[in-house]
Amino acid sequence: MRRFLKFCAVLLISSLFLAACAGRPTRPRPTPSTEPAQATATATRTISALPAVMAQSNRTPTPTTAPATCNDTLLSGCTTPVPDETVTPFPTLPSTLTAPEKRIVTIYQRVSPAVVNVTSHIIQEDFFFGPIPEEGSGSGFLFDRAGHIVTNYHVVENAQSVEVAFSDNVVEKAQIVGVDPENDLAVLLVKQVPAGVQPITLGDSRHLLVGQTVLAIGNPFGRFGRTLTVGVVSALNRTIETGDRRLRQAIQTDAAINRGNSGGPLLDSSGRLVGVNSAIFSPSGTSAGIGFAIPASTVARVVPVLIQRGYYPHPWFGAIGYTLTPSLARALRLPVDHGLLVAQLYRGSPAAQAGLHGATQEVIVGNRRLLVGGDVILRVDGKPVSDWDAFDDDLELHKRPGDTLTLTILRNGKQQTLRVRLAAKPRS
Amino acid sequence: MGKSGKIFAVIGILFLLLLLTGVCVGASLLLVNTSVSQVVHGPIASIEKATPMATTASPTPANPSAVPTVTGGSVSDVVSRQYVRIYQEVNPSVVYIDVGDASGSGFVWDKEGHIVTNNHVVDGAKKIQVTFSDSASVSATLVGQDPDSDLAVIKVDPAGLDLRPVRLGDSINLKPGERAIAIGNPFGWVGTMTVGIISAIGRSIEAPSGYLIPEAIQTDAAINPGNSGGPLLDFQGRVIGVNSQISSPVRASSGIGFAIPVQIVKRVVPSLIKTGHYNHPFIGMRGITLSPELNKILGLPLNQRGAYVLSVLPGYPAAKAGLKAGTEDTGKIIGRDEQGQPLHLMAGGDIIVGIENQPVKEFDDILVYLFRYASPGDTVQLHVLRHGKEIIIPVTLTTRPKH
Repeated sequence: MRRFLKFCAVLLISSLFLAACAGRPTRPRPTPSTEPAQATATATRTISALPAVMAQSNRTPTPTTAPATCNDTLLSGCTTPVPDETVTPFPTLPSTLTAPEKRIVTIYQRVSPAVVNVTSHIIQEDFFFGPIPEEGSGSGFLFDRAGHIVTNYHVVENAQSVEVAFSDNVVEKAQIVGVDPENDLAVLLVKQVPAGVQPITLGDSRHLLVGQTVLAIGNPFGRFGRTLTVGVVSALNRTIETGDRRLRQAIQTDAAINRGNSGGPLLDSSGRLVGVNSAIFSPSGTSAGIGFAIPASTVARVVPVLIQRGYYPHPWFGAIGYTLTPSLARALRLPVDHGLLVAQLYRGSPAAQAGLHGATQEVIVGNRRLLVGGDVILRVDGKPVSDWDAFDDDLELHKRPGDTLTLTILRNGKQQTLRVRLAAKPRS
Repeated sequence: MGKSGKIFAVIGILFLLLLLTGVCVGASLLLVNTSVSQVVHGPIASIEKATPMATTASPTPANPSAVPTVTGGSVSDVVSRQYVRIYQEVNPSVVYIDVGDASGSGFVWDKEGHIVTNNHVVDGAKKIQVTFSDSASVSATLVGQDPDSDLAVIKVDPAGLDLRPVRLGDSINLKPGERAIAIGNPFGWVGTMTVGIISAIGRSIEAPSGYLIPEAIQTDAAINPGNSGGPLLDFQGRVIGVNSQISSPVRASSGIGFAIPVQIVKRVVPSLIKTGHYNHPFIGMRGITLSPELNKILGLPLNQRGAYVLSVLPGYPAAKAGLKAGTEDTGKIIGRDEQGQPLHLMAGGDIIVGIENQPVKEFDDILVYLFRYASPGDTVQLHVLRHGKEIIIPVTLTTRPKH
């Protein structure tokens, strides 16, 4: 027993090491004057993408219900949202329910048939390369009438085959249509959608407010299919880093999210999709009231592309470096107080092709080895830039491969402009 | 470990690496979490005993400017709208407190820059950094602390800050089932709102100093490490408590959080601002709530209620006033004193049934009265049942000795 515990400890330590290494290895960062970087690392390590769970799903039939009124997949196109105040309660609802209760019950009855249990089958290999079949469970939801189902990438990652179960207890094989590991989204396709099941209506995550009611429906622990949990938006615009994934503009909620909820919808109080439940922050591995969802805006941006092309082409710039702080700029005798100091360029990248210069020498500032002498990016399309992460996010959220950026750079003490045509990030 | 054991471990590591590259990454991360928390925090306190919740790591304020400036939007139901309003009103009053190796929450008390938090958040801090929801970050000094109520006041220079003092509510008339809202920085996630209800009132929780804090509010709003010192609000957005402890087998919310009631805050904080400390009144006795079971052992009527005097501290108010503990050993041991000596249940002692016209049904009622109304130097009338007769014993309170 003791030996087993020791072995577990070794496992934990090495996985910790791996998790730490898995962070973001390539970008050298300048020494910040305080300790936040380290602190962030601590915080990040405790965030877990909700892993798929090993269990059979327990499917309970739920009555199919009335159609949603707006099925447009694009946010802007959804001009006729479900009229909130007039969500018609089902005639069968007991009159003892309060108005907010009726609203929640109605939403559940209308939307839950579109929520599916996703089971992925993975063949692991044991030490002697013998096959060990494993099963993982997550959640997903019907995206359109064609039978496309959205879930998290990590639910179907490495899966040899995927099954989807609607509420009518019928398990169907699903095909993986497209994946976007970076945004942790995947699209599946089933041949047949049960009669009467309507796709989920996309809502607008950009106008969410902290405090508003949200509902999560999913398959926690892979055993409790179509479980409804309710809470509020706890905070907005979180950046969640799990391993090499960076979830942008994530919605934080105190609705209970657990393993197996991954890929399930987060809904507003009109039953529209505002997010995809994807990660939790908890030292115990179960809900501590801190869950994170990928915003519907990302779903609206990425999913149609996944359906069309099978992958999402991320815009690629291809340079890494340091975010300049006033103190770092002073130490390097640069006549600016902000900007992105370019350290290294990827061979063949748009930044390299455009003639951006990387570092020319290595210096030691404080106790850090820095690659200096490269260009400093001051402005992008006329707008001052002050943070690599923000620059990355801006590319991901607002640019497409093929777009051109006009950079204002500082080279040898002189400002000049440079045009960079973004490419698609090479897929690994 | 033998040679074969080592080989086994090495193979194990290899196998682990193999696993990690697969789908198990997620699961492993989960394991890592568990181990991190356990390594960092040590063994978890028992379920019976709530743990204070300052975080031991100090995560960055993940996104101090996450307060939405959007108004309107798609908020459709009345309850949502009220939560949204409360967040927009109160979040600017809630601060992130970083003391280097730990972090917590706090809230703005007045325009002079006083900020209320838990004592366990700032106790022993060399440096206190306060970050507001608008990202303004300034250093703070410790103004006063009261370990016995686990409250502390720190102060920032108000110059250039948009200080918005909280509105204070009433914690005396709360009812279980009413809505409760927490705003704070769980695990360093700044500006987090979690909601729930008041699960119970009138809980006595133990301050880190060892003294009991009466009338604590229990809530199922998610409270986590880092929420410490942040406000618990009513549905009008007024402060009803200071989130201070959780009861959980892990260092994370299990739906059982405790807040120090605002009526204690209202008494303690002005004193902390004025003098740096708060003098709790002290009576100098040990007691226990009577129950049918105890009554049977003590030879009392089974339905007798009140606080039974177990012992009086020589030289302190109860002893000076002539309050009597029991003298006939019943042979039962009902606990241990500060020195760890067994406490025998002695029959024949006084039963306190009232304090200043307030009925005493249980021992906590005395504690509640003292916390709410009494100060050192005050004389309180104890209604005491001695050998079946009710007598009134005036007791002049002193200050608490240091534990």
